[in-house]
Amino acid sequence: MQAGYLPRSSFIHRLNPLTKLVWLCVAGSVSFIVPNPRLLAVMLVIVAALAVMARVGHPWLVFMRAALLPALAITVINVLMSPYHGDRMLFASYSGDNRLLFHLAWGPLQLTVTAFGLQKGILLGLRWLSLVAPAGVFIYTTRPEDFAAALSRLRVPHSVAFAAGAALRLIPVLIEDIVTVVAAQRARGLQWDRRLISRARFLPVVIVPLIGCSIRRATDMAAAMETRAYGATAHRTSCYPPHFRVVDACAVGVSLVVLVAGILSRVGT
Amino acid sequence: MLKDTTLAERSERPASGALTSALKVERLSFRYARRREWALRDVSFEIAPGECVLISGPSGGGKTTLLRCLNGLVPHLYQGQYEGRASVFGSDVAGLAVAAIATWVGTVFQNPDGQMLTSTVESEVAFGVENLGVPADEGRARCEAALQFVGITHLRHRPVTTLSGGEKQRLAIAGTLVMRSSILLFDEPLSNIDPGGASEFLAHLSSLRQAGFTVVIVEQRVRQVRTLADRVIWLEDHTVASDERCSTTSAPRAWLRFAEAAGSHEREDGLAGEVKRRGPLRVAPSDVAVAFEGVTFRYPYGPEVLTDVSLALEAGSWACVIGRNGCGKTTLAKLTSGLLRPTGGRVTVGGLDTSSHSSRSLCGVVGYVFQNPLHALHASTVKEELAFYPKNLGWGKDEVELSVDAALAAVRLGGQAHESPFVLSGGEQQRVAIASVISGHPRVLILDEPTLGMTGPDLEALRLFIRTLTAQDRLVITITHDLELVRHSDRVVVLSDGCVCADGPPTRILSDEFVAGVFGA
Repeated sequence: MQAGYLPRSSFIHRLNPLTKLVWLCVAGSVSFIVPNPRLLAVMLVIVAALAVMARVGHPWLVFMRAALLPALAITVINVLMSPYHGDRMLFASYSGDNRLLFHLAWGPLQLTVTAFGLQKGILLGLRWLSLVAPAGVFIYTTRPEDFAAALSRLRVPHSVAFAAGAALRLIPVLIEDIVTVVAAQRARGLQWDRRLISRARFLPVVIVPLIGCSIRRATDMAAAMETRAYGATAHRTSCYPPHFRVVDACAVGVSLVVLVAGILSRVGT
Repeated sequence: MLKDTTLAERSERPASGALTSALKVERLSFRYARRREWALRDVSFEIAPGECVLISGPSGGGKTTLLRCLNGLVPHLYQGQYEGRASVFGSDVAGLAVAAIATWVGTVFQNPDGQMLTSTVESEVAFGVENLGVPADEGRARCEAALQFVGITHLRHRPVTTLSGGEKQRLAIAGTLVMRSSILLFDEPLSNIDPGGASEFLAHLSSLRQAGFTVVIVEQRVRQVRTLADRVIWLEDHTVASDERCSTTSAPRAWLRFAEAAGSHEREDGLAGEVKRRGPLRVAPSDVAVAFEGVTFRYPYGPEVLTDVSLALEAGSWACVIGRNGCGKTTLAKLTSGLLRPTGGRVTVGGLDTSSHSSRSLCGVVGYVFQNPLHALHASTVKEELAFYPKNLGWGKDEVELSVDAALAAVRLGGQAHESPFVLSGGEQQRVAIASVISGHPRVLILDEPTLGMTGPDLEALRLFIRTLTAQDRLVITITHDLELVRHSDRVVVLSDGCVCADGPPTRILSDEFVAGVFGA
């Protein structure tokens, strides 16, 4: 899986990182506000369209495939954990009557699947997906240092902004490290089979080298930063700041309209 | 040559009387916190502005620590017991912040990736000026000048990860030039780049010298840098063993000492001089240990890394795989070890098809030492680390014990058997990583860049060691940029653009024109 900035030529890449940050926040909030699985699905389709426009459609799909497992877990857990209390539910948005679809009682263990529970599970699964989907587009289209610069513009202290940018930049490096460590240990006969014991053995064998590499990387990075005058002055400048164009203003405008519409739709119900 | 005047007017030197030295070290000793031995003992020397000095010596002799004393990382970032004095243009390093020293002293570190702090070329170059709070207009002008000076203006919008080793190094130089430092420190600049990148670097070094920079290079590959240096400081046993001027007529004694230490390894005579064939290569089909038949490989959704590779490597021989960064060398190694499977064609190892055998059944046959030892080291003692592989292969306790002891002796680490691999030096860790694969007695051994950070005696030992393995009818495959090592192998396979573009004994392959052709040097 690709997990970092992908340089492509698209208008989404050229948008100011602040614009994209606003969009990310709006999309996240709206996916929490919207009570309707169908609307969430529409949002997902829109994000997919944006990913395609940004020419990161394929890596975005791979990213979403990785997000699918937690989504399924959320759905399944919520479906199984919704007890049946007659046909009343907290949210008015569930449609139809609440019916008991499936019931299994085995000693103290009670498994119930209800119509509302099913709806709730699907809603929450979709909510998770539509929450992470814009994040994927954001990560693939925003240079970490632009993200840091954007945070600085918001008066976030530069050290915090730089750390956030560096964290974004180091995600793909960490993934690469994990892949290499696993390969190095497999080459020395390590097997990751399904037995729990060997998995417990597997962990330190991978995590210890990973910590070793990360400590080395952190020290190297600290040395490189210091010798390049990091922290020499409190008034750090930016030589190539991202511009805020008319397109950005429009995109921010559209995002805010969507946010207001989302809030209104919720208030309406 | 300088192409822009903005770089020429470098930072003001602090005024403190008549300055004859750019860098001065007086009776400097340093011991890292929680270490018993001194990393430097009573080191003194002086470097005049505009001088080009090579600091060399065996690994673990204190070279990198010395560099850290010059740019202030010792004692500011790396703490410990510090005695004596190091000064830059007359100012005490210990009394200045590292960021302040950075405007006089620029550092290019050994690992090109480790020093990249942002994701594109342009922002990477600008990082230093931005930290100094230089106004954006002037900062951009400095960045332009620096990019132009190192000749990478055309790469300015490229992501850092897509650059070659040589390009990354030039970027690192540009990143220090923007701060107008007039002293440049290089830590092992040749160790991480391919031979093409190395000659690029050397050409660049001479233009830095002509532009009047003071240059200090820590490097073990003396032969290549020697012609450019005014002086060689030889560090051995944590102190200065010799400090001599280079003249054009005679090689300094330090250099001869090095040649001696390395055996015939670095002698002046041409590349073909020392190569001896060790008996005829056997070609009986039963002796083929690794065979590639029309192998193609691509990562999912990626471009083709290998396009049609056919190759047969015999047991009991030593083959080297060389080629530019990113030409598919590591992919070839991973295909051999069964960690990857070919998308087309067939790879057989000791008669087993890697596509139809699990990596578990192959891992007893092929041992693979990865480039960075930190990717493998995990155990609490060296001994446990070595036992990991044979235990995974399901060996009995006594067998494991015997094989671990043999492997320890082979890499001369018997004394460190009960220490943690994480407290060892980089070179020792490398040897532990090699031993931790040897202990499983693989019939095919792959070594990825085994000579990083190794000097003369270590190299000699490695070569002898490889020879004992081939004498036991094992196949050794080394992936390397180190042409000095390649000279001693039986066979050289040159990869270029995913194909084998040359294959033969080193005498033929290492002719200068040929290497130049492959590496574009």
